[in-house]
Amino acid sequence: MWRMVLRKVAGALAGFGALLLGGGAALAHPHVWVTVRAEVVYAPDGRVSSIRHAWSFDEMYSTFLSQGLDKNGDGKFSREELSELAKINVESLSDQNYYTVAKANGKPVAVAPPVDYWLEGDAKRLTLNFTLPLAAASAPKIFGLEVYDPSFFVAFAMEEGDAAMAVTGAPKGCATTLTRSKSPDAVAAGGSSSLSESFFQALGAGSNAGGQFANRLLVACP
Amino acid sequence: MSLEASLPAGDRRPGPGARTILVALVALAVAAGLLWLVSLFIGGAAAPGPPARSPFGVGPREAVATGGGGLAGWLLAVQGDFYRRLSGALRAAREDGSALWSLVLLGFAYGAFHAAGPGHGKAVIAGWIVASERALHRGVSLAFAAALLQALVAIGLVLVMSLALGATAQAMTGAANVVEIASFAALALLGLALLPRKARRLAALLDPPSRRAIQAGPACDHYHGPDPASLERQQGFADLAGVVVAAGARPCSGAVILLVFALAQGMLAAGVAAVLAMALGVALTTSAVAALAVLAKGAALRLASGRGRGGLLAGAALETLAAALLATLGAALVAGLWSAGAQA
Repeated sequence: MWRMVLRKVAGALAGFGALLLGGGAALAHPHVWVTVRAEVVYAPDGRVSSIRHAWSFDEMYSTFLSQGLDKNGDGKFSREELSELAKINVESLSDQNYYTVAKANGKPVAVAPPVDYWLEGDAKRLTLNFTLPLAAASAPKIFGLEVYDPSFFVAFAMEEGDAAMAVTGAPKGCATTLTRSKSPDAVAAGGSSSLSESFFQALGAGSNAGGQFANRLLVACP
Repeated sequence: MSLEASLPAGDRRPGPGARTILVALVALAVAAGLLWLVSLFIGGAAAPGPPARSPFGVGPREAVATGGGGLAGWLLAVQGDFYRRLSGALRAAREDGSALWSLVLLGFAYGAFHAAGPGHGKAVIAGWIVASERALHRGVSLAFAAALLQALVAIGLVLVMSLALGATAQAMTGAANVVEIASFAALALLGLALLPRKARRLAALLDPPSRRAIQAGPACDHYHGPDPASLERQQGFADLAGVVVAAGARPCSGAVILLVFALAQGMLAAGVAAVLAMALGVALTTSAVAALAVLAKGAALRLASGRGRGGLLAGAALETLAAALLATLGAALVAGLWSAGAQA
């Protein structure tokens, strides 16, 4: 009996500590800026088979991540030198469900752990590539993909240009629509006023605040 | 029943030591209950939050605000903006020495706003003030010492790990986690060291005055050992050091990342200047919290002072509870880290 009570108390304390360290409806200011490129890959039978991500980190975080990893000192980072870091990156991202929300006909689809991942680039711009397999049962009429961090710790923005979110192998006649969150550079250049205003409104709108800053791709098929 | 009745009334009461332990345990239970209630309250509206570890697996963890109304959102927006501008200012300072001033100003502003957000440091200093302190200047010096320690830990961490050892982000994160768990343990120890002293006073007050008069015989004047005043001074210094370590030893992830970046840009001195300016901003905000705690405690004591024994009891109970809260908070943070580590 005492042991059970003690265990309960210890559990409650651990829960509270975890909460303080970062649980609950928690928010942080962005510490990492990520420029996203994503590709929705269709299988020949019309199902969505996977999502290919290529995420580039901002310069400050790229420098932090890549420090000490140029093992042979040639001033460049090979995939081998970065492989251990890439593994840590994708394994940790599973806690966040890869910041990826995939929906088939409006219903969330589970993503499997990354099958293929690597880091490339330099201390100015490190890019994390990984492929998330999808377990979709049938070919969706509407497929949606969102990339965002509800806690704001990571600020996601889509790359400039049409390649930001691409669709590969989709059935004939499918149409795509792209909605961008504000690019972090535009936000920084625009000054704090524009950021705080939209931030304010988004936060007032409810718990899914980060979702309002989502980068969203919709693929509608006949 | 008859046997019990035949015993002298006083003998059935626990002795002074046992009473102190009882009071301390009750205070700990109340503190744990309070924290649990708070966690229920905060956790009730929970949406999926950021991780207890960095989302990319490396980089120091960041304390996060819970809830997040309009004010919290605005604070986050301002911080994010300042933080983002720091890297640009650092690069500008390389080309133009006069840009160093804007870098230092940005660091200061970032620190002041960042400290207004979540973090256990303010809770530690406020809790300590409620438990043991009345002087404003002491609260402010604690705030400044803790902020300076935080900056020095970040600078030391980056200098030793990055410059001397050529460490990776992973190794640096590991070292930061060790410092972090040590600072949380220091908090738990501080609370546990403080609690028996506060509990003893409260237990003595709870004792009926007649009984105390009997106990406090002439033998009590006979005291061997170090002079009490110097003992108290030593104790006081150890306590204050504990407060500073518990509140300030955990490095700020923004500062660590900025320093690594500054080092890579060959701008270490500018990075150090920015981080010290950050500490000044943090100290300013934390001082405001410390001043609030001093004022609140002063008001509570004034309210209680006219009420004789009841007022004294209320004051002692408040101090005991604050000590128990510090201990419980430290234990909760260590346990949270441990359970997060176990999941990882």
